Amino acid sequence: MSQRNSQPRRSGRGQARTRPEKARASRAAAVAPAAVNHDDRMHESALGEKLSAPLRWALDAAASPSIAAADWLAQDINPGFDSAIELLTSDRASVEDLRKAKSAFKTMRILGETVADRRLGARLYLAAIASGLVHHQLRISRQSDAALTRALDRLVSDRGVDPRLQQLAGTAICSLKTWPPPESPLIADPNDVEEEPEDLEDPGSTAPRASTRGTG
Amino acid sequence: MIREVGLGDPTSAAKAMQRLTRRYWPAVYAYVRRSGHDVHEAADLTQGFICDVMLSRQLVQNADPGHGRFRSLLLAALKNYLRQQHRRGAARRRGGKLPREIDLDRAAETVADYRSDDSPDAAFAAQYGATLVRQVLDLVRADCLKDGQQAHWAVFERRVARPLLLGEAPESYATLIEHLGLPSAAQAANMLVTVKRRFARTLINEVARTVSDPVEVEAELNDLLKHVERRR
Repeated sequence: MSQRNSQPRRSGRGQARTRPEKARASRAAAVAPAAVNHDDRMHESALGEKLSAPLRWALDAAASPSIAAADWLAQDINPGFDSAIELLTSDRASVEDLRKAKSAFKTMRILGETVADRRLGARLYLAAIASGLVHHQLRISRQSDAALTRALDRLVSDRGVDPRLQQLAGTAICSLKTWPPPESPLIADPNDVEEEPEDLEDPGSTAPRASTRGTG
Repeated sequence: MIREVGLGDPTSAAKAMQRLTRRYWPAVYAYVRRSGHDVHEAADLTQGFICDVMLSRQLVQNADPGHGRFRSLLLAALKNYLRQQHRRGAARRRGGKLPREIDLDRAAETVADYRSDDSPDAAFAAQYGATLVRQVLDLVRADCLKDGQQAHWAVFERRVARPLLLGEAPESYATLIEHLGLPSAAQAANMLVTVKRRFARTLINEVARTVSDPVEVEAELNDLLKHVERRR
């Protein structure tokens, strides 16, 4: 496209150009749009209608980079949810959604760019397990009752946690006390993998680990 | 970038000016086109504005750095230029000329992206934002490749950029894991978030270059968003 159009077009007034025109052409040539390649075409197509999402990324990230990252993960898991908290506290989230959320936030907890990312990842990872207990009467973790209860207790008393997640954690603790729930035939997720005990610990200010290890 | 043009050494000032012009011609063209000029007149007037106002009159260098956003300055200068051209009838005298400096096919693509009920101001703002996003995508892609994050970019491109811009279906994580050799969907999802965050940072930085005070960045982003959402 651009190659074809980079060829000079004939002026309706003939070939000769005046000196001012030549000067203008010379300046304009220096600033003319670069050759349009496939990617430029991709960027241009229908972009006007699709601009709001990228602009919102910038606004969201400016407000809170960590929460924005968590919300983007949640939206990627299920576009029907706008935020991580909405996904994790809604009974509309499927078990599959929660399982994906648990893996994604566990990875964020391990590989997050900042301490705030890793801390938020740890809280949301735990919240995904809590949501499975509360909304589906299903354990999507093989942590022991004691380890889960300790971690959920910390979440309830953590002042940095959204009150909706604290409430979720509190309800999950109650569920664990009466586990297994009589109305549910499911006791544990048989596809879940064993996790290391430290998976429920707060990552604190430690640096991100080199790999994700297991993401169960 | 605006400060670079105004204060930098001649070489970096020239480069900055070139970037500015490449960035803003689609918005200028969009405004002129939606003002009722045909494709050739619009291309001619756009070229005239860039050469006569942005370059010759040093629009950027003469801008008052304490006086708001470059987008507003550019639009005001463009409106003034078009009024002058209308009075002089210069556009008509140049009618029929097909300047080769502006790619008319690309310009037509730009026009195709407008809604018929867009006002010139709305078309200007939307095209301004579109060009900004396109250039930020280019910068982010280059940065990812430079930093060895080819896989990060590939995940972002196939899951977000192409679906967003071309309407393609996002590639599944299973496919991405297989094609890119990634360890898990969770890691791929976090790689995508890394690039989105990089995009956001770069967009904020680019907008910061066009406002006189960094605190105006959010207002400028909100203003662009308002124009874009009004078009839906």
